[in-house]
Amino acid sequence: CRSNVYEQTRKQVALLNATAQDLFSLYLKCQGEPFSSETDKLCSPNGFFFPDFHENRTSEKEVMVAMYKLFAFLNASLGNITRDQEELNPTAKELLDRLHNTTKTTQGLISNLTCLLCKNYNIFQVDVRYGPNSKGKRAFKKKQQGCQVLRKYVQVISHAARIL
Amino acid sequence: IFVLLESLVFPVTYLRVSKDLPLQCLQVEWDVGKSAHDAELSMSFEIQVNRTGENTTVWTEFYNVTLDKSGKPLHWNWDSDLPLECMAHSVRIRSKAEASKIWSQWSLWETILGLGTSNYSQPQIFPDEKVIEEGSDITLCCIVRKGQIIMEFFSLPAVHNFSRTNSQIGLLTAKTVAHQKPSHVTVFCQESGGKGDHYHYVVFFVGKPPDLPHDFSCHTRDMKKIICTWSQGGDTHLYGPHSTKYTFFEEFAQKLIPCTVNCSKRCSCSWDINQQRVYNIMLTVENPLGKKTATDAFDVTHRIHPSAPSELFGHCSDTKIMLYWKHRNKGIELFCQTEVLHPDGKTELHNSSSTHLQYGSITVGGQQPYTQYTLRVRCGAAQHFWRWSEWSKAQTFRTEEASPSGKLDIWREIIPALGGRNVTLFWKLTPSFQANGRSISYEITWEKVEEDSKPEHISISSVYNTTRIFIDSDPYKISVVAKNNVNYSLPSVMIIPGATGTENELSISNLKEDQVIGADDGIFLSWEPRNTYDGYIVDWCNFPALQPCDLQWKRFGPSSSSALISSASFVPGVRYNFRIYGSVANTASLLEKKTGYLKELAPTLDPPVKKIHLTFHAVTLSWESYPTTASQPGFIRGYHVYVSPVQEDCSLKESKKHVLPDGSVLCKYTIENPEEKRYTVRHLMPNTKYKLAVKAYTGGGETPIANFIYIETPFDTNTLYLLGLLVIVPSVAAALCHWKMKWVKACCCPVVPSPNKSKVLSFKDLVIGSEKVLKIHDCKPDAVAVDNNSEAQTL
Repeated sequence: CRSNVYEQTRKQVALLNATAQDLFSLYLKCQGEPFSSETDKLCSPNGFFFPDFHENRTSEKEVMVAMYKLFAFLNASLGNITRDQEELNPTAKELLDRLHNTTKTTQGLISNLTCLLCKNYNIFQVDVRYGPNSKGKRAFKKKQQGCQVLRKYVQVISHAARIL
Repeated sequence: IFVLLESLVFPVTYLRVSKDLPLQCLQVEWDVGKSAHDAELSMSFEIQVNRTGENTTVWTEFYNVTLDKSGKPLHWNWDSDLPLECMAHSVRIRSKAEASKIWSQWSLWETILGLGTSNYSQPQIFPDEKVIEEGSDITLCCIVRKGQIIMEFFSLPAVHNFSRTNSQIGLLTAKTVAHQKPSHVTVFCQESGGKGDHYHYVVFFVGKPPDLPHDFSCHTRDMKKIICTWSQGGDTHLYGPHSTKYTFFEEFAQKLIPCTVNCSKRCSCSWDINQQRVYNIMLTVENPLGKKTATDAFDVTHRIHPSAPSELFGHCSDTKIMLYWKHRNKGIELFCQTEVLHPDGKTELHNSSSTHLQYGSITVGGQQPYTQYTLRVRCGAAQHFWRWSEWSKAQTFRTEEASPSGKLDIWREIIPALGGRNVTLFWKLTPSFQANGRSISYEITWEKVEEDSKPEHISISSVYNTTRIFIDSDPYKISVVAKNNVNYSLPSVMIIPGATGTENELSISNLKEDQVIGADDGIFLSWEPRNTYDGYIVDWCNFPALQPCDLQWKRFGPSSSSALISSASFVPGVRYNFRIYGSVANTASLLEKKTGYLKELAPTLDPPVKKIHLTFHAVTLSWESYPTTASQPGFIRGYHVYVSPVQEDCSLKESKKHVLPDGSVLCKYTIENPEEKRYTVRHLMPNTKYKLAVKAYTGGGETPIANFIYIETPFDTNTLYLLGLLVIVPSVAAALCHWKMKWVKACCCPVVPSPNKSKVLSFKDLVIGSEKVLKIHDCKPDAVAVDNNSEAQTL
């Protein structure tokens, strides 16, 4: 790992935290109604899996593992969301750019966390639980699933940024 | 038999209806009796479709068919605009033989049930993810679960007319749906009743069918791959799985061509050429709303569109450019065109043939030395030319330097100095002169004409176009050449005659200067043509008042005798002086002098008038110091003297009336000689105030009168004297006379004796009667004066 990998990881999380709300707001706008007006109803995370990030974790190792699970999940989810939006909203250039940029930062984070876990804790494998694949689902369901993921992501990334 | 047929009926014996949910159509199958088939009757069938929920006949159609002996049942399909899940549909049919007038009885309704109630844990909406064309209508239905009722059923954005059939099935019609952003409309249905509220969302897509592919054309660049291109057309607003699909089909081979389409500015697709040479390609563009096709039939050898040449390189001489380039696709005989762009923007095209080899070349001649040219190349098929390739990337070349071509135009100004003359030399480039290189300098050489003396030489940088040399009184030959890194230009030569010649010129400088008149675009000069000269030169200063004055010159041929001299520096109100020289054997002689204005202006300063002499009838004015030189903005043509009594209008003799803008009248006198700077105004009234003004005028007129001078004529003394004589002297005389009146009276007007008052009458002896008559005979006169001889005779 490079010497500044921890600092870089912290900055990457801070960047994601700073851009998460804008990404979510833009996503809502691009889906059209009723996503903007019925956000709570449609995008509620109830019955929906998202890796949690509790702030009362004791050890740094636990924090690192939890973060790895979070960003691995997020990377896969962003892949689904980006694919779906390229199909449903190919002209929403700004949304697609933001999704791509968030995905790139997430992938950078995964790379750094992989290195940290390996170097500092000798952890080479982490079991990750992923969300449902949206492929083959109805258009409305695809939009709703993306909304649920991004809404939860806004909350969780702020926790992660606070801890780091 | 005819009568029988008229009254025969062939009722429908069999009717079956099924539904195709993906296509949303009813498939109807029916038949009539065998006898009708055996008779191969032409029959008409009236088919009705009924929606049970609306209890209306939504469709009626007449279907005509000729039966055959095979006995196969008949089929008919009906596309429903309302999803078949929404409500039950029923079909019935009746028949009539063509020859008959009688319809059979209707068959029984054959019903296909709708969904009725939702089988899911939430309401269901149909259709889901339907694609409709912009501007069309769509009807959706919401079916709730058993025991639930519809709370809300609407679309976002709200484009709908809602109607409800029963509390469990709702219908929503969106009419003339416009394209949205994003391109899908969300439909929401919520049920209520029992525990909790449940809802469901679906979307439908609004788009357009694909446009007909425009400019569909196929070609090859290298006889290895065929590329077809076309214009994509307008946005269909349908993406992902609903986006436009492209299919290529080759008609002659009857095969689909696997091809990956790439659409950026234009769409394109390519595949490898096999042995086939002639193709008939059909492109189909399709989306859920429609399809369009375009075709292109061609011989691939007639559709060669080469790639642009690349890697241009070359080398130059002073007048030629040898250019080489690379063909991306060898093996094709090409015909190429080279474009040469000149610095002035002109272009030349040169054609050349290229072989099948990978490199082509061309030699472009006739170029100017040391000049930058930009070249680019394009090629087309030599056999069966179809289209030019794109232009190659341009390459810039600079030809080599060569000797300067053409000659310089040189001129001089000669000013006498102690021991000789200062000669200021000027040179300029002629239109035919080309530097043909960089680092131009000018080499000036001068030597005596008659003696075999060593020439003197200086070199001047190209930044300058003038220099001064000193020569003595002898005649000199001066030569100026331009020099670059290669060689010299041809010399430009002038001969300065000896100082006597200059003196002659100086005496000629006392030549009379003719006045010339300017026009809008310059100053026109003419001169006396002479046979002895092989050309004429006119010189002048652009800024006569400055030093240096920016001397300019212009040359004219031997047959010229006039010229219009124009200069951007010419301004109105400035006097320009022109010298006209005749030139022969490189020697110039001054012939004439001209002076003139581009446009004369009125004088800015008035003559400074002094009152020299004032009498009671005249005033003499003078303005001796007023200049008539080149300092004036026009030629002073004369003066106007304006006079008027202060209180009255003018009425002076020998003057003309002049009315001022304010309506007042002045008397105007004109002096037409600019050198006459004194004038006497006569016929003034004594003891009168006058105002006067003197204005100079040029060809540009005169400025308005701004100031007057005021005079008052004195009293007339002669008149005074006369007055004195006529009044005073008689008065004195009268006083004297009065004083010595008696003496004057006695002297001047003695009393005439009256007989009645005579003393004689006191002598009574002498009185006769009452009359006081003096008897003469009684009187002894002292003397007798005879007044009238005749009377005296009488007495």
